Amino acid sequence: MTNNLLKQKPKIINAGLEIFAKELQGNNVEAVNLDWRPPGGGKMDINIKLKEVLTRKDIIDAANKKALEKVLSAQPVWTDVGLAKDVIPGFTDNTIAHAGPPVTWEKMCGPMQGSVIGALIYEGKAKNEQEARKVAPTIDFVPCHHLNAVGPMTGVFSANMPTLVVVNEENGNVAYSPFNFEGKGKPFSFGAFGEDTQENLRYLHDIMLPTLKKMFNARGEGIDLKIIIAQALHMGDDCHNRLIAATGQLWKTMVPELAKAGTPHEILTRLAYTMYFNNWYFLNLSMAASKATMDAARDIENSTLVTAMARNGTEVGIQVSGMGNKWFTAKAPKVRGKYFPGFTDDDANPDMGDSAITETAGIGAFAMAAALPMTQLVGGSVQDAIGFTRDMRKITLGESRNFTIPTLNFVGAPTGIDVIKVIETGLEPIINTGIAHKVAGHGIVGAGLVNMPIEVFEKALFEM
Amino acid sequence: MVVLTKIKKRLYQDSLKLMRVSAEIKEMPGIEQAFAFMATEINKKTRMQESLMGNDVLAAGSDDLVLLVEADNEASGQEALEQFEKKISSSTASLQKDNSGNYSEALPTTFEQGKAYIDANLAVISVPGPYAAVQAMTALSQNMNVLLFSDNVSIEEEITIKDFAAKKGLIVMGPDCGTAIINGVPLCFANVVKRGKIGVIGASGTGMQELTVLLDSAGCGIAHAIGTGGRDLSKEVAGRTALSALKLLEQDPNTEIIAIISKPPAQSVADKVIEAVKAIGKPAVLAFLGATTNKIADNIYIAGTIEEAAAKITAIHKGNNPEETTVLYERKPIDNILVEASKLITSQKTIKGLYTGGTLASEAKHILVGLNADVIDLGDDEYTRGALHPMIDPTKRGQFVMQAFSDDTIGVVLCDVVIGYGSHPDPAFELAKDIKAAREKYGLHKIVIASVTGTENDPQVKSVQIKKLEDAGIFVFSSNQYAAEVAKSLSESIA
Repeated sequence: MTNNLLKQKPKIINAGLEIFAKELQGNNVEAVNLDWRPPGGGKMDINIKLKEVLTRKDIIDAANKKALEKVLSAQPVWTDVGLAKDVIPGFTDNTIAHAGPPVTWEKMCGPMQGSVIGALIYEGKAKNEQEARKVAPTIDFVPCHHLNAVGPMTGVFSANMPTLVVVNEENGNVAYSPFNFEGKGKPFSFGAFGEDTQENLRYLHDIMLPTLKKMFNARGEGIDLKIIIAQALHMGDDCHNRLIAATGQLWKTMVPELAKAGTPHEILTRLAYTMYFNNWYFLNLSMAASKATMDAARDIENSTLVTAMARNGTEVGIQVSGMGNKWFTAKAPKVRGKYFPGFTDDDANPDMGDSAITETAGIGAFAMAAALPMTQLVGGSVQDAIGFTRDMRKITLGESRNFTIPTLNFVGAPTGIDVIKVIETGLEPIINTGIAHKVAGHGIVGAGLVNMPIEVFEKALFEM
Repeated sequence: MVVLTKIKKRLYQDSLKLMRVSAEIKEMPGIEQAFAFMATEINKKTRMQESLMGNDVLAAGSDDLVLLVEADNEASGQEALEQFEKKISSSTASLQKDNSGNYSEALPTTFEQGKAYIDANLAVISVPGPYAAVQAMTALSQNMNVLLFSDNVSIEEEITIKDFAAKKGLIVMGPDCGTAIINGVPLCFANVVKRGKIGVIGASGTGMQELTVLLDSAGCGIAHAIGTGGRDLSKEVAGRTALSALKLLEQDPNTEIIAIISKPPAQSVADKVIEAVKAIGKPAVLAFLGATTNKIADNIYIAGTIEEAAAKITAIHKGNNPEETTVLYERKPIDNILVEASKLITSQKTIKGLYTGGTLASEAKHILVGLNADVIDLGDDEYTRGALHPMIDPTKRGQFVMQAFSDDTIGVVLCDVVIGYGSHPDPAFELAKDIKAAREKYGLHKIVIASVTGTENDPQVKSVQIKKLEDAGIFVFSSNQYAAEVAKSLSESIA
């Protein structure tokens, strides 16, 4: 490339003394002044490391381009259902999967222990909480992400729980998620384990699983999730905390298939009511679709694209494409929440769940500008919601070709978080989330917003 | 008429957007019809003419996007399909161009974001030193040349940055580069000089300012002035920027004469630079301040002072013999100042130099060496800590003027006044005001000598500045060297 410096009137970007930009503009020179802030909050060790990393920026850019293309071209399709132990490689009878980075039973937060108790009762390994607490230390706890899976909130699921299978047909990789646990009783995924919750788990296993299995067998092909997400974003969903449109679109797709598959009338009725009452049914599919999308971008050497953001209620962490399966973690922060009647900040467990995989894939809070009905959750004004998406554009590598945002003239959702951009701008990725009660068994208390702490990105930077 | 289609598998797009893009494609020359639609049953069966329905469209599923054009011929049809794909796959609007104002992006915070606003080829960086290296690297990785105004960048950092730039075919002016003129655009601290055929490379900011304004006043214009930073010609940095700059000037058709201004470089570096200059073959004057005048090759000269360099370049420019030329301005008798000198009391034997420009200060020091003279560079770190540079804010010099006037050993005060972009809007007014105030306060007679580094086209206007100084009883000379030489003569007569 020949240097064009002397071949044209200079066009300038100014960082630092604003007077230089002003004088240039006054002298009819095209000049933009940056709203410059020191990278890494001004910390020197970060600046030194960043400078070293930037000497490899060309290689990193090329790797990130490749990784981003993997993300943008992914085609997640819901193809099947089955028990965790049957469909997920490596999932044994003694496995219990959980959200976030690895965590031991002793260090698990209250609600996650609650879900584990619920799973042990469900699996027949314990009769009650007391017995379950004795059995728990003998269980193999594995992060969902290590099983190519994702689970909302506690993310807990066990060998005999029904599981969604989502295939990325572009790349060939497979992702899993348990069924959505909303329904009768307090939700299992928020740490509930009582009899109502158990009854719902049995319903998913006994009724919903075989019905859906039959539906897929009869249909012979999967259900395209990308198109449902794209449509739902145009209908006010963020596909993380608001899933009402996506659930509706999904059900609309399923009803004729279920009917064609000869689903008995009473079961169809029961499923219809489940869908009618559960506005979050699509969450686990949205997550599995995001997981199938992001896993395609794993292990691209030198890429600084974030492939997972996940939280276990004790710690939060990220994984980075060029850095294998290593977790970079920090203490789980408090969620800035809105609470259900009777609950307060004091009841809230710190941040938890694999559902931030949606933000990792460019939807959820990253697409907040599309989800204007959620405005009340995020500060009240439409501009606030739009501001989230606008800010996230500053830390992402590109825009989705499929997920577009009407309020922003159909620009694509900001996609592919870049560790380097997060460090440079100091902007922490934003996440929409539910909030669990901090005590095992108490369920959900609210919803809110949280950021993935800058600390995890700094840790990743230092290992580049 | 031909009908061409393209199926994009599983690419969902909003139907209204597709209709808008379709309307745009239909306006292309040779296009009869253009449609983009999701291949849903409803679209296929009830929204399109049967004649347009090929087998591929029939086979497409409801998740698939169909692009269809009817064109006069194959070529314009293919062209339209290509445009179709482009318009649909690229986002339809960029946020910052949104004219509603509400949704536009906030100011860019990084060079990468800045690039979305403007296809810049130069980054001007004046962030605090510890962060400067990172900013320079980011700008370079965005394929921008860098003017690094910041100081406190380590020599290791400087080398890393410059090597990275070289790898990318870019140039880093600096660190601690305060002056450049690129294609007539003054950057940071620089003067508005005539455009012309002299390409300047300078390791010193005020040195380059003085050289370019002297050339301007002699009627010689500047093609470009490229700063290198003060350490570039050291043994360690080895002229990395100077050598890249020479390459740029070699290829630049506007540059017919090359000038380099610097302290005398390390010998190994001087050799490399001279070698490179010889290889280019354009006439050149190397102003290695304090070095011995020398002709090193046909049309390549070493000059010891800025004014000598300007004189030699002017001679080359005008077709005269540069060898015999050492000054630009004929030195005139200074009888009127000697009269003033006779009014000094016997203790007033010292010359005090109060400078805002670093190279101008060292030039004065060099001329006054061995005499009873004390030249202070107020732009030195020692005086600027926590304060603005005295070229921007002359308050500090005001304090030193006051001190000098209170001191009865000082007979002569020597100053520089640097104008142009970046400088204080009226430095002559400030200096005149300070001198008047000091005179009133202490009543002691002093001789004040100055020169103005600037041009008539600078925002402060050279002649206006000179008038303000002369009205305050200050003797003004045409170059810094000239002014310092006058001080030298006075020193000899008052010793």
